[in-house]
Amino acid sequence: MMPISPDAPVIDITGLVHRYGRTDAVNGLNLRVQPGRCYGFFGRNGAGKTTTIKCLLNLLRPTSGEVKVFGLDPARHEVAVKSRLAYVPDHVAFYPWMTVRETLDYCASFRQTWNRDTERELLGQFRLDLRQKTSHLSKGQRTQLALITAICPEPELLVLDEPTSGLDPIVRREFIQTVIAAYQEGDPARRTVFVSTHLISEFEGLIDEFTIIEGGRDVLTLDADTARERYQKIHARFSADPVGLDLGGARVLRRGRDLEVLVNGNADEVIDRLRARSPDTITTEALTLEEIFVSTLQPAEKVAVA
Amino acid sequence: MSSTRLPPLVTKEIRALLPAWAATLCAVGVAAVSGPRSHGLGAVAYVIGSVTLGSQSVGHEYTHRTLTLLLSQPVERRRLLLTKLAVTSTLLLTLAAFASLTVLKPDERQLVLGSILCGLFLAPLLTMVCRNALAGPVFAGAMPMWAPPLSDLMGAGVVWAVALPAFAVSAVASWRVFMRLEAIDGRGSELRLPQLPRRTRAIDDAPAGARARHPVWLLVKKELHLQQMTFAVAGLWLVIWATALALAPLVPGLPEFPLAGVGILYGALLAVLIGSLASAEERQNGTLEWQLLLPMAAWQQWAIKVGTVLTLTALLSYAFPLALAAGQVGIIGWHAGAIVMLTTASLYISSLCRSTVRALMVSGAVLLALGELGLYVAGAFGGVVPFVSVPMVCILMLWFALENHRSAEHRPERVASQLLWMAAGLALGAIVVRSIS
Repeated sequence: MMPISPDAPVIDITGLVHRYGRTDAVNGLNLRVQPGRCYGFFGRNGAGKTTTIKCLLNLLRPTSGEVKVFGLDPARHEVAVKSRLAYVPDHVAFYPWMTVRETLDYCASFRQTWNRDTERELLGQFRLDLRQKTSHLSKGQRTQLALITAICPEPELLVLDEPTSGLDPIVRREFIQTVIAAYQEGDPARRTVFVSTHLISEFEGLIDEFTIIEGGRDVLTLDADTARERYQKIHARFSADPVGLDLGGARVLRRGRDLEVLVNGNADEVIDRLRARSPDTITTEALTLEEIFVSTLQPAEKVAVA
Repeated sequence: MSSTRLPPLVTKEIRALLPAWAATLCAVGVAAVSGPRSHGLGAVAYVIGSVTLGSQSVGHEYTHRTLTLLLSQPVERRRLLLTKLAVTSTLLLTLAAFASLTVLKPDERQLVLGSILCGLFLAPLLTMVCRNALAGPVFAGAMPMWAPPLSDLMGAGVVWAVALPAFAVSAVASWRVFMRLEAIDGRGSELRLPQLPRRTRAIDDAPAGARARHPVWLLVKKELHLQQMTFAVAGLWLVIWATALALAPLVPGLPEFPLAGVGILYGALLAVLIGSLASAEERQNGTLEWQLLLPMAAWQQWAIKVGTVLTLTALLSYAFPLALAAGQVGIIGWHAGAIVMLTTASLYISSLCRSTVRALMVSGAVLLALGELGLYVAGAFGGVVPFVSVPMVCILMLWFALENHRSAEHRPERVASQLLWMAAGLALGAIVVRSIS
């Protein structure tokens, strides 16, 4: 097995391009994930998230650019890379003739480590019947089974592509709060989660860092705490309509005498300008990751419509 | 006590190939017990079954959409492929041994080598290249059957001098393709045939209302699209025919080659393919449910499907080979009836299957058994019963297939009652014939 540098980023993508025929699914993406992080990978439908993930796993070959996982090229050191990660795809499929038990045994047979206690615990938590055939499982149950097969080998990197789609709200919450958090707590310095999702709000407390991807390119990469400091929402209430107020191109939502201003790093300047108009009240709050996602990808004029 | 259990990867491969293996074994077995008259059919079943088995070694990953699951496991691709090859070759050898002992004549043994090599290398290669489990059996299925007649024509040495390097190339190519195999989303069922130039962008960008076409026409187009594999096979047959015509003056003995007869057999196999694709392909694509929810009666959609399928069968399975034969084969009534029967029966089986490959395999095995039964009944009743009973059974099958096609589940008791009705139809035909005679 190849020696792997402990300091190497878990994922290192430089100028990744992947084309399907004449369509650019990923077009010059750059990304770096450090060990021990819970990394969010956000983007709209067709932004190139799944294609990027598949390039990481050598399930697709990049048209150009460089992909390294644990400092290794996944195409050249496929087994070394895959031994240290687990993947839950967006569309989960199992061999229809296998039962839940057989599927778990099948996946465990490829792994050097398989935590039977975790398996038992998660089976109980998800209430999966070991004797049931996978062809008889619902979409949500298949996802639950895929999560168990991903977590039991205790990989260093957990790659999740829309992991909570198809799960009911209770299981979804349980999965995010308990399963993912517990997985990372097992070895916080080494265990990394790379999650692609639309349900950004549900991962709010877990994400340490994120990249927003659009049209196959990274448009924003930020540490979650930095993002919350930079992206703020300022509410101001005026006694009269503040006609001619110049907020330097900030996104403004007007509701009568109330203004909601979304700022990106220039909160102090905007607050000063608002205060110059003597508002009745003025409050600030950090944007959620979902709001940051929307404000980054949605054109300003759509946000500003009152 | 030491455990002697097989590794799960091997068990999985065996289980995945078991249906194709069992279907082939049954088909060959039926032909064997039916006597020497059916041994030719048994040989055909063996060849197609072997190639299907080989194709399924990779094809089942596409059918069940488990390619991502397989390739994302921490195991070398070399080991995955070697496991697949080991299991496939073992099963192919058991089939070869069974067929050699039962239906194959001593001079047909070259079929065995051809089938094994095709099943091991060519069929999986075609499956991976086309990303379609059907591509292997459809494009490579007939290949070993060409070996005996071509050997008679050109000599076995010449045939194998060409075939062996071709198999070696396909072995290397299938290894390379698997090592670089990509898990592209979807089943990969799309066999892309050349398309007519697209309409202007202005029309494509126009609102839906401006682009509206009659729903019947759109349904017919959809049905034709489902049959892309059929068109590919028809095109392939045309190429074979044209090549044979072009080479006829150059190769002594080629003009005497019974290509027209082979064309009739090709038409029969194409009829089974058309029927198998018609319903199962939609279920496999996952488009059946929303298709049936469109605001058009299910029976109307079904009528369009059946109309398209039968028209296509008449054109490609019957008229096309006859036209190519150019008078060498006359229009035979029972031939047309058999083609309709084959299409209808495979359409009925297709309405019960979740994948086209399975529909094709089951159709092959069942139709072989029915063929034997038909020959027996025809022998017992002077050949009249099929003409009385078959149209009635065909209508019943189309009716029941509609019931199956629009149903989300296939309960065994319903299928059993349908089979009973069909058996009753056949029995009624027999009683009518007997009372008349």
